[in-house]
Amino acid sequence: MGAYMNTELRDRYAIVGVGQSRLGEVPGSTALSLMMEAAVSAMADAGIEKGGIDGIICRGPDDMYGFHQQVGQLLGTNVGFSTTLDNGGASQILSIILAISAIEAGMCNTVLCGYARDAWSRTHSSEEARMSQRASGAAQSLHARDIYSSESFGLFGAPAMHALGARRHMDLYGTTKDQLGAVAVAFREHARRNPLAQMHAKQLTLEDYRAGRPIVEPFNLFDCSLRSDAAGAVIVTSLDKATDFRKAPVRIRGFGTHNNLSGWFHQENMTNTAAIQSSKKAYSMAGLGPSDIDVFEVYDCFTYMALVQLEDYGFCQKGEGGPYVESGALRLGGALPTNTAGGQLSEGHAEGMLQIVEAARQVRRDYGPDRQVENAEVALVSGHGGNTVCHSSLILACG
Amino acid sequence: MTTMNASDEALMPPLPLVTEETRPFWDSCKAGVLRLQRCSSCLEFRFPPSVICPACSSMDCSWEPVSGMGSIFSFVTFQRLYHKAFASLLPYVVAVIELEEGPRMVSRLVGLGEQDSVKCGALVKVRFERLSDDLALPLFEMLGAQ
Repeated sequence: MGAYMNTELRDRYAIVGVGQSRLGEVPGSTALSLMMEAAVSAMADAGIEKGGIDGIICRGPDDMYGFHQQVGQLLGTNVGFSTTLDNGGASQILSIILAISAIEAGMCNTVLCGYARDAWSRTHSSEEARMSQRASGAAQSLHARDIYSSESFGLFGAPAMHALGARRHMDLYGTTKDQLGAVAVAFREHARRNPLAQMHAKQLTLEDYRAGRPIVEPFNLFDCSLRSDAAGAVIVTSLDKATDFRKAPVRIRGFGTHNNLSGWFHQENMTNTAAIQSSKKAYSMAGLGPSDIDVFEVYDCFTYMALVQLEDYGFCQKGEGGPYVESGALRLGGALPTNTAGGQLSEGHAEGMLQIVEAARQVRRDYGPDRQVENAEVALVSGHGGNTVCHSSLILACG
Repeated sequence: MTTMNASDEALMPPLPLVTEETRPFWDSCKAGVLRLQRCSSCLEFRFPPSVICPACSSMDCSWEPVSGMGSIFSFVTFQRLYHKAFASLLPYVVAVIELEEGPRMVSRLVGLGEQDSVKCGALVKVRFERLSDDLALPLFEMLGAQ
């Protein structure tokens, strides 16, 4: 582990602006239009114009080539560094790590990091969109698309991949459906306090959860994250320049990545995720441990992924995630307020970018007492994806 | 062997991609034998098919028949339909099978009775299902199934 430690970067960079688009069902929107909405909101938060940005790391839907180029074109700017990323839900924290690397290398000074998707609009906005989805989705594939030929055997979609992990966790450790439900219910309570959340208006009790439409057992509808139009953006610069901005800088205290490229089905990767190694690097850089974390913004593509990461980040022992979430720890006022804006299960799904935005707002103490984690100083953010095996971690601090 | 909708192309599931690397596997399945690549250098079996051994990076290997026995590493039950070829099977169980020889593969469980309780660790054996004249899928049934 020692070789990876880089405490020199601790507190050397900062997030100086955060923003988001409208979330949920935004008829007529595109990933690009949502991205621009979030970018403008982050620039306003930072108090800068486009001339203040000389780096762009923006990612859109995986089928859009050169998304970052289109963002720069719409912004009307040339920049010293510009690219996108290919690590799925781990990409968004990675965009901040790459921004720091690019600034360190002298390529640029201030980077716009963003992610946008139009997952609702591209499938629901019109009859044409619905037809197009039906014609292009997995449902019509003639050939299986992975090296296991999974689809030939009937294995489709991200829910099933993660449900395989959940099932193994249940069989190994006795984790229950109600414990998965405790995750969904806790995050929904937070979304009910967030007027911008996609599920703001919809209560979810444990009874509602139990009655959820089965998708792929052990998951039902409420174990699965939302289909959202959503974008988030943050602006990253070095801490010595961070005084030029409108809001208090949020210091980047530590980060880490790890990638179990041997595969989700290999060894015990489904129940011992890459968060184990990624979190150690982040804690080590930050000089902090789990007991120092005031608020956790966890990558919750599915209820199970939140539960298992609580173990892998060291908030409880391996196998104890179920009892831990059932204790009420994740709620505002609990031992570890988690996904305080509602998460991807209830706020909106922007592949983890909104979690970074929320973490920054919590440590800046932007909120009133109904949403603010009391005395929040240190926030932890996680990112998971890239076909389930890539992970990234970020620790933010303010004050 | 059992046959699933072989006559109706519209009801075929997505077909395995038969390539230079995977052809020996699918040819074997067609002949009703489960065969895996085995590294000539470190003797590890491997799956999915690949030109390189993930254990020792050797490019030399042979295709060897395996027992077709294994256990369930994990499993899920599909309630929602993702592809119309599976409509008549709902709900169906997809499992990650750990073969006796070590490698894990994705498959579907067949021959499950009402009383069968699927669990991680349960023992299974391969049963081929012919999709067409050219193709058979290695599915699995539980040992001692009702």
